Amino acid sequence: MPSKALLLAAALVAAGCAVTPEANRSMDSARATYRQAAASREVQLRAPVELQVAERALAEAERLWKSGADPAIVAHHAYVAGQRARIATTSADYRKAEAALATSGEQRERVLIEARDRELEAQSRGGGSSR
Amino acid sequence: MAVAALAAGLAACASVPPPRAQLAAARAMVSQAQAAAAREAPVEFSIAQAKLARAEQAMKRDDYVNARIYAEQAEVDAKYAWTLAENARTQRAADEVGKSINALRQELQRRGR
Repeated sequence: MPSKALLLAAALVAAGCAVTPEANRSMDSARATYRQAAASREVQLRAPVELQVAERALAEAERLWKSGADPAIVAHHAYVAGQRARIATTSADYRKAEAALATSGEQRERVLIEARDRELEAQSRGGGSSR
Repeated sequence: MAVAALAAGLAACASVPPPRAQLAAARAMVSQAQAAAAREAPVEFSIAQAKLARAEQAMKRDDYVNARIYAEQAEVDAKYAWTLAENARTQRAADEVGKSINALRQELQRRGR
């Protein structure tokens, strides 16, 4: 049995499929980072272009990883994919804050209108009781 | 280390083209991020700068494999640092506006009583 495993390992190495912990680790990390970004409703809504760029970068890393490319090259593409996913997540974050800023004028207006309504209501109540 | 081994392996093979476009993109992104990111995301931005410097050095040695790797990483690192800075700035602005609206609401309620 061990010889069979050894043969398989030898075959994999011969096939240029040098599976290293470095490449595997970086692929795992890139996949997890991408999954988290892709699962977020905010990212889907506010950073669809960045998410698509990240998806393509991860697909390229997966392709290289499956084809047994050099582990350093796989790790590089995995790193880029992970950063692209982080860019998508952070872009969604800042766009959400921008959207809140864009409606701040309306919010202020609403607060003023509510205050005036309360004032008018108080006046009409006051007028009613004095009669 | 693996990158160095790869580079040594591929240095012999002169078919790798110089990554001029990647290096130009990295320089552009680092300089675009500079103003905001150096202040708001200094750690991430300095990583991008260091990688750009390594890409430039590799280019001078005609080590196009490493030049390309470092240039591509410098570009995404600089872009990431820029988005972090943009996020810090907009969150701060949104917090301030939120506070000012709350203060206004409280002031009006106090006066209304």
